[in-house]
Amino acid sequence: MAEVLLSKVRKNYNPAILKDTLRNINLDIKDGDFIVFVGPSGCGKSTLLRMIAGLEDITDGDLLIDGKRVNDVPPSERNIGMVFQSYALYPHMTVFDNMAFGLKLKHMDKKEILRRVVQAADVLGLEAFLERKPKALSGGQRQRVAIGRCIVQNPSVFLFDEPLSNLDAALRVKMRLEIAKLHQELNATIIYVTHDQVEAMTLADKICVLSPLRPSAESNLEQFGSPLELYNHPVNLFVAGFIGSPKMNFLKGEIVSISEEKCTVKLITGEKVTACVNATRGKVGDSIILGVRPEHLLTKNIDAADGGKVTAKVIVTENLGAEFYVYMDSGASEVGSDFTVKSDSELEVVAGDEFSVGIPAAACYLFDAEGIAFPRTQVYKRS
Amino acid sequence: MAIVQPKSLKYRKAAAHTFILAFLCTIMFPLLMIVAISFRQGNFSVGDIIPSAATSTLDHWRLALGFNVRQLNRVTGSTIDYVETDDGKYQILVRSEDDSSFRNYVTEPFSISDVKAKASADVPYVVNCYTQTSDAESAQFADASTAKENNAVLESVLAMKLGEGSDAVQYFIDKNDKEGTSYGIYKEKIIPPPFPVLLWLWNSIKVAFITAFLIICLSTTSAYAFARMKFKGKTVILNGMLIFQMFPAVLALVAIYALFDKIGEYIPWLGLNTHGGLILSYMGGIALHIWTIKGYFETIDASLEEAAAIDGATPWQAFRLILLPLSVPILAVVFILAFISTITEVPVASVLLLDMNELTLAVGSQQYLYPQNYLWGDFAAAAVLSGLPITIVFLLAQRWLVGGLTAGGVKG
Repeated sequence: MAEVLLSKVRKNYNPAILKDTLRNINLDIKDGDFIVFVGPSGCGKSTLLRMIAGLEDITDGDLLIDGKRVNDVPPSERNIGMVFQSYALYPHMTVFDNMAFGLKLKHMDKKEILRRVVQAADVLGLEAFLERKPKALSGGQRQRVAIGRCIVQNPSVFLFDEPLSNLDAALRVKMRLEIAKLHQELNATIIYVTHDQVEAMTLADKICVLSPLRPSAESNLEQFGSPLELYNHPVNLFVAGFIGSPKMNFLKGEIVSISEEKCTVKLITGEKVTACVNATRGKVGDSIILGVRPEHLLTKNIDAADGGKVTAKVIVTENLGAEFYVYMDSGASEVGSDFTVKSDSELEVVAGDEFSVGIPAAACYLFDAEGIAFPRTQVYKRS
Repeated sequence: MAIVQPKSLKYRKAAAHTFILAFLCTIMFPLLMIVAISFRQGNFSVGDIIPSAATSTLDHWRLALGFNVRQLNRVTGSTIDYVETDDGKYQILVRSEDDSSFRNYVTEPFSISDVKAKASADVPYVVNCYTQTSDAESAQFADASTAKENNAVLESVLAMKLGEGSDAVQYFIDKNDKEGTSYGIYKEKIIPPPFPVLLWLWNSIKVAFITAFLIICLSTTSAYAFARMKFKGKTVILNGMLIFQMFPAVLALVAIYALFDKIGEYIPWLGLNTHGGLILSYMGGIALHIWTIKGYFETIDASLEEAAAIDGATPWQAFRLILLPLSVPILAVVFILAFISTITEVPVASVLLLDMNELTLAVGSQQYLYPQNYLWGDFAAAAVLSGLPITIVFLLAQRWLVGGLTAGGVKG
């Protein structure tokens, strides 16, 4: 198993136009870690994975696998295995031949090939399908063959490029668990690309959030940390908005008072909210953005909320049975984005109503005008 | 189709079927014509589409397939007399105007019993004969009482053979062709095949197979480069090939001739009048095939080759082990197209090939058509023959024209 180290990695597809896809990516991936790259489409997460695999060249910077610089090493010599979004099985070969292809190219002993393939098939539950062609397999089975093709090579790093996005919802949950199990069994370094944050939050030891590169930005690596770290302490507006579903609510306002433990802000609608945030690097009168997650808003005992309350007009309500969503139009929100409330119990509201929710002070996130987060002094625990 | 259709569809369907049938008949007509001509007696381009038994013949096919053809020409003004020899045998005396001069043919003596024993309706009894300038003695002529007996001789088929070996000429006597006392005498004429049609056919097949094979090799590798690799000037080369392909090769015939003349000085087997040179010139026409194959390659997900690369395959291995097996249908199509276009190509082959024995069938069969004498029948047989390899190759290649080879490989 191996460590993967990326240092100041840059990718530019077309040097003629100075438009980088990735810039200044620094990652230190420890042996045995399960790393997930997430980001909206077009942020370069697949490109980064393909660069690690050796399917794209690296414009600048260094890529080290196991301490060895592999920038110019072909994919087959990097000791990696990759599972493609489209599975990329060889359609004219049986499952056995698909899995044995790489080993045959290495002129491995036939008995050893058989042993490895059967072992991998055993782990993945594919013994019954070894003589079938990919055409005769279901989506989940094909995905398992693709994983099996990696396992038999015994790579030190597994690369998964959105492996579950082609599966239906039920199968996706099942395969997600199988991949988690596989990680425990193999204890291999896994790098996993997805746009599904449920996969990211559940599977990852560490998540790497990427954003589409802005021309002036130093890097499009927004934050690299454990799932809960990203959830509780996002470094900026982008990560805060990207991690969490439904999306975090953002309200515009300005600082009214500052202390080491707390900060009071006045929203542009006039409502005052207190947040458990150390905003000492700002000053009174600075315009800020207050963030609060939909699931942290209080719909009962509103007046008991220590942070304050927000009132707005209801646009739509959604009842999912287990959850209840209220979408409101707050004057303090960005134009075009709703103020979302998530409740565990059904609420007696209909569209058009004025509705108030309470904000716990500990549940607040605060960002300055540039979108950089102020450090939070407390982490909200739901009662 | 499970969609509910209006009633008027029935008539439109009938109209469409009628149109298609009429269209098929129109395009089948020339082929039927050619086939009919090849079975018709003589070398005429007009006549029955389906030749009757009386007017049909296999002679054109015999010639095309390299067999001699036997023709019986009636010798005008012939009379026959019988001579009885002293030992009870007979001799036949034929007077004729063969070759615009009077000749007498006298057979060696033969007995009637021999003729009856050996001859049948198909196999003539052959008697050697010789020419004689003076008349046989009239005293030896058979009288009326033996005439009946003489007729019995002619109940069997009788042939007179003049000369020995390959120079031998046979005359047949037809008892049914009787005018007065004279019988019809037919001179047998053996016509050897005028042209080595089967050799031409073999030349065509050889050239077409090698050309199609080399075209497949060249165009798949080039198409792979164009479909998968990034290099400077790719678009320019691709478009350039397409544009240059638009000029027919006929325009460059003189240049091609001069070029291969020169090449032949250095590499004789690629020069003029060689099949190597012809094949080389045909290799120039691969631009369209490259485009065709490139289009097919681009429908195959590149991640298959990326997966192969990660599995440790070199680009060549990924090409040969992954891409090519999935491209069999398009390879079959390109092979058929290249084969057909090579078999039917005339202008370049007619310029590059000079020797009668080197010609391809498409060029050679035109030798039958010279302005003074259009041998339509022989030409038609050769023409139908040239369609044979194409048909066989198509039937063989059909099993590779299958869809769904890439099914299941990638989520599509």
